[in-house]
Amino acid sequence: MSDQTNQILIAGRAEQFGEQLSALVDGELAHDQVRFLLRSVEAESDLARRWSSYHVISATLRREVVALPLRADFSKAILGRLEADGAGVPVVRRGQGAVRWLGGGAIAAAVAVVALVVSGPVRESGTPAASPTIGSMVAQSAPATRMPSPYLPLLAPQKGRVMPVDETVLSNLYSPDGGLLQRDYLSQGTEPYVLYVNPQTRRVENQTPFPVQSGAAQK
Amino acid sequence: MGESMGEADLDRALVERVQKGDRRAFDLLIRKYQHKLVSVISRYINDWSECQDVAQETFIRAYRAIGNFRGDSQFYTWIYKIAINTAKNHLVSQGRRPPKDDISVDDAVLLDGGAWLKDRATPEHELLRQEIEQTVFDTVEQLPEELKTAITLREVDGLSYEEIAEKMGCPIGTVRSRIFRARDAIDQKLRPLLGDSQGNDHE
Repeated sequence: MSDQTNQILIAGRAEQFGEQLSALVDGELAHDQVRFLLRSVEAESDLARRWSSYHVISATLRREVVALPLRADFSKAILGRLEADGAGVPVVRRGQGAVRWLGGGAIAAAVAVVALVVSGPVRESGTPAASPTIGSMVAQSAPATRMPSPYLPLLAPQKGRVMPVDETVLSNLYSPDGGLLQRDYLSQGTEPYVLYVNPQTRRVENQTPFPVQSGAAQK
Repeated sequence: MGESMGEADLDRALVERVQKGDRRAFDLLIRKYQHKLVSVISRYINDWSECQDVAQETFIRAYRAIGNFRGDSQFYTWIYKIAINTAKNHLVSQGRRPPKDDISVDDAVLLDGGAWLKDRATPEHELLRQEIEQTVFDTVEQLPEELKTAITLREVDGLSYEEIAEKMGCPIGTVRSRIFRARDAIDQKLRPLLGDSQGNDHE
């Protein structure tokens, strides 16, 4: 095959992939083509660049505010950090809908912490009996018409207190010291609990049942 | 051709691939939402470099929690909340007080015409941002009429390919090709501004 023919073939393939990628951005690519295209993105590095560029173009034309420019290796740095941290494949616990990323020392720490916690009895509805959830506390203190604020500070963990957390509220909670809050389940049929990951050690340090600050909940 | 995959379906498909360990799929999610998330975070954090740090931290947290994502909400809504919480955690860890009120996910990238972003960026960044924006609109203006109409109906009016085909009186395949050619033309002009490697080469 001559160089010229080869170049024409490469250009044709780039055109074909580009058109499919553009359709994918619009959600207009057939299901059966998506898998093939995503595999191609791996092989054709320019497709990833174009994917990013097409989204910038879309957002700009829609008059959305686009944060530009970003660092050269924005995405690569994230993937590199995940690699360096030994972030494994996210584990999905099918059936419970609960999932947890397991990697490195976090596994052992999480298991140890979870083992210490005693769950309350679970009603048929799945809500532990006579045990107010953080979600319910928020719901009681906030006006019904208002969406829960995605900013609900939590107090330091209190030993011996375990409170289930309403999973619709968990993503709205933050730890005042910058610690990471992760949801976990003790076992099937129990309500989710919050795990607290120390920002310094990046290890699961405590089971929260952090109570929501009453002042914050009333905001 | 089979049934098309909508945008929400696409995100869900990418998330499912990530849940199976496909980092390339996560790369695509990052590239899709990185600019939006930095924009959202910049409403909470003044320093441009810090905004990007927090956005990167957001994606790391999202990866670690992505098993929790069950598709009850849209992926963007989910990661948007993580971004806000990460930004607030960052402020608190720096001894700064986060704002009490939050903006809704819908308003996050539309309010104020991005006035707050202009305050965050350096003059060089702001100049480049304006240049990118201007390049997009200028290139669209210079496109052949059928390409300009197709991309405008899609991006500005939000029509589906089928609706555009009906309006323009042409097959869906032609619409798809026109929209791609329009984007490709804009991309060619943007490339020197955005950079070649990861979508941009500018710090």
